[in-house]
Amino acid sequence: MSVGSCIKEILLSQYLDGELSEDASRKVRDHIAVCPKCNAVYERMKADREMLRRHFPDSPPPDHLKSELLRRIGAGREIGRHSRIPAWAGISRLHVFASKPWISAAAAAFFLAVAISAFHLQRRFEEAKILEEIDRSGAQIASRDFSSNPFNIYIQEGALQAKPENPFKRYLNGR
Amino acid sequence: MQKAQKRPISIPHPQSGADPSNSLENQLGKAKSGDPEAFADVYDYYGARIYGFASRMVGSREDAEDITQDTFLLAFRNLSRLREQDHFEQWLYKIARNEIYKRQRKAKFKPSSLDDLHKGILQILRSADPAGDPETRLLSAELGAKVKAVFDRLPIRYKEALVLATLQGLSYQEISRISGRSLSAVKTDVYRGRLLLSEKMRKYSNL
Repeated sequence: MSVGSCIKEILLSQYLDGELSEDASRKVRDHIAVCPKCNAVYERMKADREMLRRHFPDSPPPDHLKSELLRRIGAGREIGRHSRIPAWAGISRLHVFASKPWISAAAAAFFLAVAISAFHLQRRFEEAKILEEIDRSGAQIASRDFSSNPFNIYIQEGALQAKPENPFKRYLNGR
Repeated sequence: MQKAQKRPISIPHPQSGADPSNSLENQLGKAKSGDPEAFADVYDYYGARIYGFASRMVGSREDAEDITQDTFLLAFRNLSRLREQDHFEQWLYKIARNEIYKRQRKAKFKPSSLDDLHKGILQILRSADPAGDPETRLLSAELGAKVKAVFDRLPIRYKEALVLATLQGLSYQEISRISGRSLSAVKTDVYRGRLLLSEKMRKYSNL
């Protein structure tokens, strides 16, 4: 039998995996029987496959896996070892909110109350600060001696009357 | 095709004399209606295959256990969505594959170092038969660690194709359905995986 042209390696790979049709398999078998080059490639592929099988043997899953799986199926636990909370808690992190909606409602109400209180407290605090500032500024204005002011004439002539009313002045008058 | 005769992919029918009510097909039906005990039988049949796939893909025993467990848990919760019961095994592989890829995306790339190689040798030595010749054991352990290190560094699509085709014994058609890649892409992946593994093994041996 003539050797003929060599077979593509990808076909040898398929032959090794039993993926060729009967006819194609027969042709490859006949060829590698007479072609040392293709036979060497095929034997190398076969050896690599055996090496993989030897170093990655079938190993059964550990026994605890089944019991753990059944426990999780029964408990309807959350997926993923790392996404679970510690076993001592006995509940999943998010599952508690789904199973008890009143907890979600209570938590939302609590946070809302805290937010409103904080807002009001902040406003009162700012108001107090403004009033204190006004008191201080008003006291400074009241104690100022305008007689020595070089613009005294301007003030005396009532030019100030045309100016917008000083807010501090209104505040002081009101007190 | 030779491959088609290798192993049936559908859920096997009960052997003669066995109780037909305990067939996997029946157990799967019961599991669909939420029976955990029936699902335990399904796990007994497919657990080792999925665990084998996961452990060969991720290399770590703990990760493989997590992936196997999550795969079966997801399968149990979504059984009602399974239309073709005959394709249950492929469906399981698909779920496991998704879990593996999810972990691969999260994990940072960490090429194995010489330290890892030495650890691998020690690990294999510990698990080897202590009665054998020490020199042969050491050489075998060293080779095993090298093979695992090289295999671990293969691109994931080649590794997946090789694991499914040569170690899990699936046909290219099944791999195509599981991975969502075309049949010709699977043929190429298996071949390139083989080529790359062979090249890297030769390079590694010359180090």
